[in-house]
Amino acid sequence: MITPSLNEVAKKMHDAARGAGWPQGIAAEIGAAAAWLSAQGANGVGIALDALRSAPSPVEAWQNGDDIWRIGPGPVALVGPSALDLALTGDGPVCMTLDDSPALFLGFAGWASTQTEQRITLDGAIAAQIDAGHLLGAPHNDPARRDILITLQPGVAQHPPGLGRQTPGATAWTEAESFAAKTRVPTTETSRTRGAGADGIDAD
Amino acid sequence: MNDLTHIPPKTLALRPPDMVMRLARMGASFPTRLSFLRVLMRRLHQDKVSVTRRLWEMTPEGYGRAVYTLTLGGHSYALVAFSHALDTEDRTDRVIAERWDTTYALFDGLPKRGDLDRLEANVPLQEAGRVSPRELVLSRANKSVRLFDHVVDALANGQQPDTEKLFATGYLMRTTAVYGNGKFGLADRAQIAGRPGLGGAFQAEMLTVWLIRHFTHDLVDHIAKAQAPERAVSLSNENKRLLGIGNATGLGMAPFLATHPELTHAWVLARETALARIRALPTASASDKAAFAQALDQAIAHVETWDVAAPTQMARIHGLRRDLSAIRDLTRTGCLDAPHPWENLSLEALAYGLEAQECLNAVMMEPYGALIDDLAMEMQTGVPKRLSPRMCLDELATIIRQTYAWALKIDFDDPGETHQFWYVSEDKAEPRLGVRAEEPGGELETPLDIARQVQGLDRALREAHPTDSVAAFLMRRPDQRHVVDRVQSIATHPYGEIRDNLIGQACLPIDLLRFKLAFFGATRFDPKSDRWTRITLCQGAPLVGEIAKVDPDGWALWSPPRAIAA
Repeated sequence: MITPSLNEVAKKMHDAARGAGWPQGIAAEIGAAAAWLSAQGANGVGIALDALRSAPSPVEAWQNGDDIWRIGPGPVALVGPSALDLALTGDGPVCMTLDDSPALFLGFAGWASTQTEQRITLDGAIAAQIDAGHLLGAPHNDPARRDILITLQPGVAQHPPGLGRQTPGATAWTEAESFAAKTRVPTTETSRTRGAGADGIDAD
Repeated sequence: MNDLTHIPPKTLALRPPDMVMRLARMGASFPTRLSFLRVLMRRLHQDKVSVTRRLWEMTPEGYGRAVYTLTLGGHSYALVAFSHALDTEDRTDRVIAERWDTTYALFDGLPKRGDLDRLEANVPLQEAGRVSPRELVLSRANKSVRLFDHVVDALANGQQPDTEKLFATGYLMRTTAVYGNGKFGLADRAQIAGRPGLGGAFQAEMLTVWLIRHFTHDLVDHIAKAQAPERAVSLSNENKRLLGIGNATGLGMAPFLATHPELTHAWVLARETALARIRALPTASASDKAAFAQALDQAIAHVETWDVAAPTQMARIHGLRRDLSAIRDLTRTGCLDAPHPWENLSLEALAYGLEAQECLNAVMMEPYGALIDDLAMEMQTGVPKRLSPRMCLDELATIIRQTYAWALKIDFDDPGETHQFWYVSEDKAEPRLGVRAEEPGGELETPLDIARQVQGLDRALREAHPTDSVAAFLMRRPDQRHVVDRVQSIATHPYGEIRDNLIGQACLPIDLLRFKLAFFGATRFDPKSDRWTRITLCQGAPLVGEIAKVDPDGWALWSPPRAIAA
């Protein structure tokens, strides 16, 4: 069983997401979210793996005559980044509804908060506050709910980066690798003969 | 800050990205005083760093382990080195190798016996082992056997080795990988990003290379002494300076530049800002001109001793020799006494080859450390900024037209423009480049086809409503998220984009390698194909025992003193 670095988690889950068929930009968000969750001591690899198994579906957003945007239902891998995009336009709070586990959304929000230095408040299926990438207190889950209300404020503090590591289960890491392996190509003899050091044993 | 909105007005005369970020020019890059190895040498000198050999457990044949420690920026670090017996048939520079002559870890702090035992069980395995957040860098190096044996034999016989041979090869060992930033369990870069001394770009990696060089010097001394305790002599400091560390670099390094656009921008912006500051100087003092002349002489001597087997590169070197000589003649006509001497010299140099232009840029920077060395602090980046969801699509389309005009001109219906594809190999998950019509795997292409992606986004935007926001667009088109993020990022980080088609037949990865290696501080580029090169690091650099005392910048484009005199 290994304890991967945050960079390894981000890379592995990015590649796994691509291997599972998610678009490149979404894969990058998934990798970063998994790493952010791992830095908080959560099982970022396992949570991201759960999200990869969902099927993509179209995402829509609308307003009901108030200032709240509503988005979903849909898979967290697609609804999550779009909900944060909407929230970050500054046009008001966003209420999203998911049809799979919301756990990865905490990672999406954490990474978005890190990038934008915003304070992001979540309420509903997940209740949490993240200030400039720093998780304020322990998040709460309400398994009976599938909706999350997102509100934004300017971040107020400079925080050191979270550098915690988490050991994913051996099965989870292996499964992530099996998804990631779908992006790789068997090496051909042609590529071997063109690679670094291809002139063989060298003694100068 | 690394974006163009924060440059003081006096440095606005930057060379445009359309000129700088072309593969042909990138492939003519030279190390400068902002290269990472040069930055490290200045920091080590400033801190009066002293390196201590804490442990030396070696057999007479030179197999065993060693530990070197130092304090930099208030933190202790240790190079833990392992030396192994290696069968000749196992000695290969290929990344898929499984055994090496020597393996290394840069340890964060002072290792205890238990740490050493843990490292001894893992570091020799390299990719197949696991290290921990206590380790910052993982590396390995193979002997240049013929030179290594010659040096040991000479020292054991009480003689110094043949200096011609030392300089010709330039190193006793050649690294085949220097890993950092979380690879194989190493510390994530964020762990050291804020530290004085190692906070800059690739400083931990460069420190490791410098210490490995010192270890190789100690190792030949040790083996020679073991062979002939009464007769052996130590390698002289003059000869140690002749020996840097070699490196064999292939495609594994190439995609980094395309996948780290904000970092690449920061490196180039620092260099271009330095040049702009120098070109903006109204006059050159007598001492500046003298320092420039000395640096140019040194560069000419360096190039005279730069010989490679590759005909294409050798032809370029011959051209460079002619051009530098002509430039030196030009500077002796009094042109540096006129107003704005460096701007005028830069303009004159446009008549010469790209190698000469870039070499001259490196030379012009040498006299002006006080003016430009602060820029080294701007050569790293933090967390990449998130895409701007509020931006309207017509603004995004405008950015594409302004920043990616070069990409929109490429005809991707021409098979030559999609001739190659980047992919990740099953072997150690290394980047590779395939020929689309000849090799399998095109459907698993790594998305380095930036120009083609931008064309795809441009088409998608034409079908969207121009007043829609990026947020609304990406809700419908999540497949465009990556390229939207990139286009927005490049709008404020224009040096982050290579303005050539990276999947076209004309793309030569060697240009990417030279560009990146020059920023590291590499010299004596020795291309073995258009996909990999050998280089030398630290040749002529201050030794461990003298770094606190000598000029840390006196080895720019170094060559032996004899060569300069000639």
